[in-house]
Amino acid sequence: MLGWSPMAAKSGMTGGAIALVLLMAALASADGSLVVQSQLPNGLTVVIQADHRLPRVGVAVTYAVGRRDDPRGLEGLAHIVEHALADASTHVPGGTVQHLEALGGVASAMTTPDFTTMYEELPREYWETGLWLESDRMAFMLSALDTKRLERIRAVVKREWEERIGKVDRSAAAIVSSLYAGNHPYARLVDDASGLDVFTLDQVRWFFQRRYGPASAVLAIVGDVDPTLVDAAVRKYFGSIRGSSAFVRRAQTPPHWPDEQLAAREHSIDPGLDRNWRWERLDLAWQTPAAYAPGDAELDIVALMLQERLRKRLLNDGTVFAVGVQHPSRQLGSPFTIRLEVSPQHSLDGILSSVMAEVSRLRSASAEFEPARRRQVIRGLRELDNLAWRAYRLAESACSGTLHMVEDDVERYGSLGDKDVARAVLTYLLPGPHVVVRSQFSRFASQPRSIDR
Amino acid sequence: MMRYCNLCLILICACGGPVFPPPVRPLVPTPDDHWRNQPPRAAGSTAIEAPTTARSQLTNGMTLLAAEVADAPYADVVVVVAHTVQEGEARKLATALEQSARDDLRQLSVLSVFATSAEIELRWRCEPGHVDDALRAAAAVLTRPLAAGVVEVAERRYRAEEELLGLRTSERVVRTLRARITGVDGASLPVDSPEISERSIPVLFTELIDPAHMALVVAGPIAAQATHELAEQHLGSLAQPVTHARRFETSAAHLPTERAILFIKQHMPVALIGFAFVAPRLTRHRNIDAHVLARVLGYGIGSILNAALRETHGMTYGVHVYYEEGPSTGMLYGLLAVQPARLSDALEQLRNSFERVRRAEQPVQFRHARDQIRAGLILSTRWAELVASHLAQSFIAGRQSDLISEETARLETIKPRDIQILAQRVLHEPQFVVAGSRELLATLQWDGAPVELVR
Repeated sequence: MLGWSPMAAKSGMTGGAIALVLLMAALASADGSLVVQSQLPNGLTVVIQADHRLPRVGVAVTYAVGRRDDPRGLEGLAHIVEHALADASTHVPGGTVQHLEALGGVASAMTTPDFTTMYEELPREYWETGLWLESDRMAFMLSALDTKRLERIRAVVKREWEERIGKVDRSAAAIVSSLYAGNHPYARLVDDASGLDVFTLDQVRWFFQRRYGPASAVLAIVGDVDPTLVDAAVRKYFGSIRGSSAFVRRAQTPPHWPDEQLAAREHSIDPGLDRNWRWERLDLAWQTPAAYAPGDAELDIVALMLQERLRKRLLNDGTVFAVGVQHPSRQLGSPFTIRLEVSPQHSLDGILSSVMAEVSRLRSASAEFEPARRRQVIRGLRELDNLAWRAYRLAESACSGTLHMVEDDVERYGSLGDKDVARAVLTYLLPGPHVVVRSQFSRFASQPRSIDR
Repeated sequence: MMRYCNLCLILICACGGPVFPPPVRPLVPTPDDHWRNQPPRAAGSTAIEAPTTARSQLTNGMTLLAAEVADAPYADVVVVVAHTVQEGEARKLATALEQSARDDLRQLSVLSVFATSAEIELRWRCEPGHVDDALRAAAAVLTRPLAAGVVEVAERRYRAEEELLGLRTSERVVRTLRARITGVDGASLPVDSPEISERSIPVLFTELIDPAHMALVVAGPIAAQATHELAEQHLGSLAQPVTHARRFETSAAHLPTERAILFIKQHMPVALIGFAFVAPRLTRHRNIDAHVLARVLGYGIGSILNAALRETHGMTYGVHVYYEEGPSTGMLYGLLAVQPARLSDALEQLRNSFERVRRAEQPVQFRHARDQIRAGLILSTRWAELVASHLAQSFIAGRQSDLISEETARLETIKPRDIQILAQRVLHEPQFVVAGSRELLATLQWDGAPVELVR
């Protein structure tokens, strides 16, 4: 039984020589508990946060590989690897997720544009099992992956695509993707199931070996644990894992977009929805700062404020049927989006003007600011109970280079003032949306259209 | 010649799509230490300890359930309205209450509202020390008549949302299953209409906002006595209504033989299958056995249906089975999407799996389900959100006892045989609802069950 990995061939390290060599940081969280970040000689970054309030433990492993890293022609490969990691490994042949569920745990996994994260929450008595299992996925997943298993995983991912990704989410993803120029890593994030049939087992192996080693990963453990015991266990389970050197992405910073590419563009897009849909739709999208960058937290609050304003102005009088304002944060820059389902008798141009008027009003001190800020703080407080999510956030933020705890959200939203929010509106939103999409569903006949760039 | 070979290589690359290096070889293994063969031992076990809960009554008869979860990072304030009206009417009133609450600019909490066939729940989540704000927000909504503007907007929103739900295939499937299982005629329509939920929001408000049928649940870092005083101050003035809620009569669950309904929905890339069985109804004792049965069938990847349909055959992304405790009858139901061409296979796998659970004990899935529920109960004692939900459910079912202790005790004694006995009682005459293209009709008819067609 072998866990495939090329790193030892390069470094010559042996399992016995592995030791925790570098104490990088020890930060205090809001409640005073220590967050310890360290790195193993094989490059694995480890973050431990003890919190004894709940009898649970959250474990997460984030790999610095996301959908934007899919090789051209093999779109969906990172998603396949996520499912393979959630499947079996050599020493957990019955399935890693099944094993966690049998312990009373809750397990999940996510492939975002930037990262792949496996995460779970377990009763505290199984904290070591969480480490054992994650190390087996990292080192011995490929040993258990054969053609038959890959075919089954492929079938399930295709079913997921048909059921979830291929439906309503598709037009929203296409709009966000259209925010970015052709060579940007986010410019081709629209999922396409056609690539799923292409992968061979060798290609999956190649991709995993090249990108998913410990040097490209962060392990986070949060909960009712003794950091000293965890530290020793991490060395035992992960120290001997061989892996490739850290994968360096081609573009780590957002490229400069020429002004003409940032000018408002309008698209026609296949709604991807039920043909009986009788509403029109207006989508607006802006490019905004990356996760945790200045302006990111402010725009989270702006999203809540604007949601309330648009609800009162347009939803209450029946002009629109639904309002959605979103600001999901991403590593290379985030999208700020507004989606309005509009009654057909209203003019989309008129609604666009109303939306921009409300955006403009957010510059001045607004009655919605304090409730919105408080709601963000309360959401952060609620997340303190979710140890799997806290481990996820720790691992993913450390993977992006900035260690960030859920507690930090409470603090960063709590410290914002209405002037900060006004400044963000002025800087990022008032220049106007970068993409405007009018979806007039009656115009879509049998032939779906793609984005018209 | 060499130039020609290079050209060929370029052409092959260009025509054949991307070319990747072979897997990295020779592969240098991670040492396969002997201790990897077994998971580490569990470090002890965690006892389930219910939080201290105080039950009292406000002077107007409203029940107060206050749970002291000392180290919770937030507090939940929940108003539970027990009702016996048509579910659509409850949803309509819930929309109005939400609209009214959201229009209150002073509200500094996170609000969520929902309605089921047995209750309307309004939940305000607040920072520790701000329970007073949340109670004030609750009082602002409940202690004075809804404004005319709020009612107008809520009526319009409710109809629009119903229309949207009617377009959501999964919602139509579940509503249709619920109608068949409960025998409520109104619910058989995929979209609610004024003919079904005919009474206006002000009438419903007057009838249902009745402290005698309401509970206030507060969970978090609170003191029970101080909370009682605050509750009395803010909600004690809520008067009992002159007229009382009209009871909505549901017909007793009558089960026809196995039956299928097909919703014609062209352009769907999948066939969506819903199935349901009559299950134990809401009682004063939470039916842990039915929750275990639901998880044995379809919860984790290792559950019976996911193992059969997803893991073995790759037919679906997943099956989730739910147990819904209704006031007149309960429902055990599940949803899954499959490729249209595999509809027949999927139905066969479902029937075989139901039969398997009826015929034999399933000790492995039983153990997983029981341990998952037990682990969830531990959280239910520590998360203010879950503590409040448990207490709200307890009130709706008319329970006086400590729900968590009761459930814990049942989990200690339950056996795989109990679940098999329940399965024998529940898992027969499945009701199927399938949504998809017209061509599926042939498969369903071939499959043997009487098929009703809905366009």
